[in-house]
Amino acid sequence: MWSQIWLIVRKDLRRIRWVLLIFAMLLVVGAAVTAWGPWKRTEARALWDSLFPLIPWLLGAVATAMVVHEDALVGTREQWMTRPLRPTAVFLAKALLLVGCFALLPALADTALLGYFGLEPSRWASATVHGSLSYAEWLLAASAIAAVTSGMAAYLVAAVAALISMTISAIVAASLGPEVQVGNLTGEKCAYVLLAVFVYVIARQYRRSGTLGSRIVLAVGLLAAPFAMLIRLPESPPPSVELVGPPLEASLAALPAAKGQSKSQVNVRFSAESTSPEMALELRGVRGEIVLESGPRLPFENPYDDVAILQGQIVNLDAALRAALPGYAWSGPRRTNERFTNLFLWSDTGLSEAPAGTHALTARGQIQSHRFELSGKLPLRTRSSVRSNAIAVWMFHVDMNADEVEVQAWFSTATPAGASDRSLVTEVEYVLVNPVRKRAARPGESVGFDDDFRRRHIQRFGGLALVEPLYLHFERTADGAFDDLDELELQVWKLVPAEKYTAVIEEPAFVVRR
Amino acid sequence: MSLSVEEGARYAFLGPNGAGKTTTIHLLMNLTRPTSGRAEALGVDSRRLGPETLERIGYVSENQKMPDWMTVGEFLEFSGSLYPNWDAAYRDALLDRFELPLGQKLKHCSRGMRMKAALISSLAYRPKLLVLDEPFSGLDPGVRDDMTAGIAELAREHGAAVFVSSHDLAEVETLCDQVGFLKRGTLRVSEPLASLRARFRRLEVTRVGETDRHGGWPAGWCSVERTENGYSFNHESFDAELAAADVREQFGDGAEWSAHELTLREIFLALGRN
Repeated sequence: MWSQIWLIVRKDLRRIRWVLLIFAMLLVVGAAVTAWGPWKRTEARALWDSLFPLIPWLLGAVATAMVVHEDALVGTREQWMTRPLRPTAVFLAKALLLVGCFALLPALADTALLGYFGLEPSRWASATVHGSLSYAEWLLAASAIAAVTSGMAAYLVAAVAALISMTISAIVAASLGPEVQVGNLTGEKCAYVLLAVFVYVIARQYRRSGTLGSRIVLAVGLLAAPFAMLIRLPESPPPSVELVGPPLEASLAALPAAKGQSKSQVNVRFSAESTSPEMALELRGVRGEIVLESGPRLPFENPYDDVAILQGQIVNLDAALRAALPGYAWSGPRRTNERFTNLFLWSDTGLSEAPAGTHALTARGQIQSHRFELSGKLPLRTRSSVRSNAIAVWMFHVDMNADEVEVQAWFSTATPAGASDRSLVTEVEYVLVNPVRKRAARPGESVGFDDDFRRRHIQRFGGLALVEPLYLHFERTADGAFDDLDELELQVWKLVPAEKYTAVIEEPAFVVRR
Repeated sequence: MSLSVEEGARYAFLGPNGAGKTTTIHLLMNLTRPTSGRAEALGVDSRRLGPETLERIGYVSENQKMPDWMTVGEFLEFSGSLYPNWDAAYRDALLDRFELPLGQKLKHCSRGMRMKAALISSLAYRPKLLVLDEPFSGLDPGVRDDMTAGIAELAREHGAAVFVSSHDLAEVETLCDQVGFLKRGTLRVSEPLASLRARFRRLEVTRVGETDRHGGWPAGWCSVERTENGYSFNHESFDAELAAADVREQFGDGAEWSAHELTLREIFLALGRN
């Protein structure tokens, strides 16, 4: 068995060697540009950031088809079917090759990048595993389509058809939103259903149980998946929480969408009264009502699929998010200790949307009322033994003029595995360093600038993977610290529990030099 | 259809297009699942053909997909590593005989060269059963001769059974000792080639008397045609004494007749038209 697997892996590796070489080169180029490339946010850079990450994914999809079709599962013309090859060996060989080259390899590149940006070595393995799984999901979808087609042309046509039919199906499902009860199955679980369909189709094909049946299963699965969002499963009672303090109240006000955001997005400022910094709110869902200009009222109720707590805009996060640890997966209630938080509702036609929310937010009208259910509050731990380190930091925009420097940067963090309730309050401490002075940085100290250039910026947020933008403003001082400044160094120190924020941190979590 | 091929037999599976020859072979090789009935290869239910059985079966089809990106050498090396009985020396001998360039990519090979490569990959482990689906289709006579010789050698020297579906009757006639004829999914004939040849005759009848035909022709007569001097027809179960009696009965005592042997092609056409 293993000799056959190795034989097929070697054969297929020869088959895709050029694609693999290009793929690897793209990974290296992408990582190099991210790590050392021009960091100023230009249009070219924005275009690069948005388009370049797609190329490895597309190459992975093409290579998947090549590998699967090399010993295709459709028709009666394939050599391997009449050779003494075990279907299991063929399957395992393909799976090993694809996962190794097009899931593990890019995940390793991501981890290397994150390591460069300061991800702790102890988290490299889990980051790689999670990154690989993320890529593997994509490969699974591509493999399922390749398994029911026999050539590249048919594969591409089928992939486009699958995409179009899923989109149409999602639109139809979304259009049912106001009329039917919205489900409580998370997008993640819907995705699992679809992944199960892919696995079943691939298994059927390698068992050679009939391509027609597999095609029907795949088509039905793709068309039905968006409707899974309408499924309402029995809900388990909320976990018991320790209630402290007076009853909570929430006051909400819709804010106009931020400049540059699409019409389907709206920020709602959410202010929870009667809380203290030591309390964490557990946001268990959002209910609202949209009143359209034409009169109809559209109630919506969502758990968490189409609601995210974000505090700022999302920039290119691919690598960081893919590598995020299990806490990143928002499958359960989310906690926030923020007294003021922007509830960022968005909608597009993605699978993770709940239909009503999608409908409501894309409809013309205004949000007139909201009600947020606050199920309880949790006391913060007085001392936390866990420190959440940022896993990535980027400076993506720097403006310098005669009097000031503005830096926009972001970092992301993730809760350690299985510790979603342990890192509730954190702080960020950073210094902006002028490396021209070439002085060693010491914790809590800015190097090369006057103290005025050092700011302590405290952000508190839930322990899940969040994107935290930093908008830093530095005023020029009279000592000429900005003179001849051709690069900046932003040091972000470990994120620490709030109660320790006065403590000096011994070592920087990461350093980014530009 | 019920058909069995004995060990060591060289069986030609003939029939017009659409008769079901390729479907039968696909069922035998587990390329298609039967909706009813069953097929066995080397005593194993075709639906359960596993590597152990396939190691002893060779299969070459005109429609088989080849890994075009490989060279002939790479293809044979890969094929060889799948078979424990792969005989590299025998492969080299076949390569010499077929004059195949090892370094040439399959996509740059002619159809004949590709078929030769496929055949070598199915002969070099000396299978006990060689299944061929239209292997000579579209090949020039030289290639056909080479391939026929290679297959015949395997059958002769190693006792392999050969099951070949083909329209190329000259090669089949050289290669096979048994023939089956399939028409519209029904096996019309399955017997030794010599026996088939012996019982098929073309009869020419002259000096026929006045006949007033209202009934049918006797059993075994087919493709009866009126000629300038009398009648001509094929006899499917020729026996000289019985034929003479039938002719007298049909055309009178004065009728004269002569019987001629048929080529396999003529028999094929006769079976196809009947």
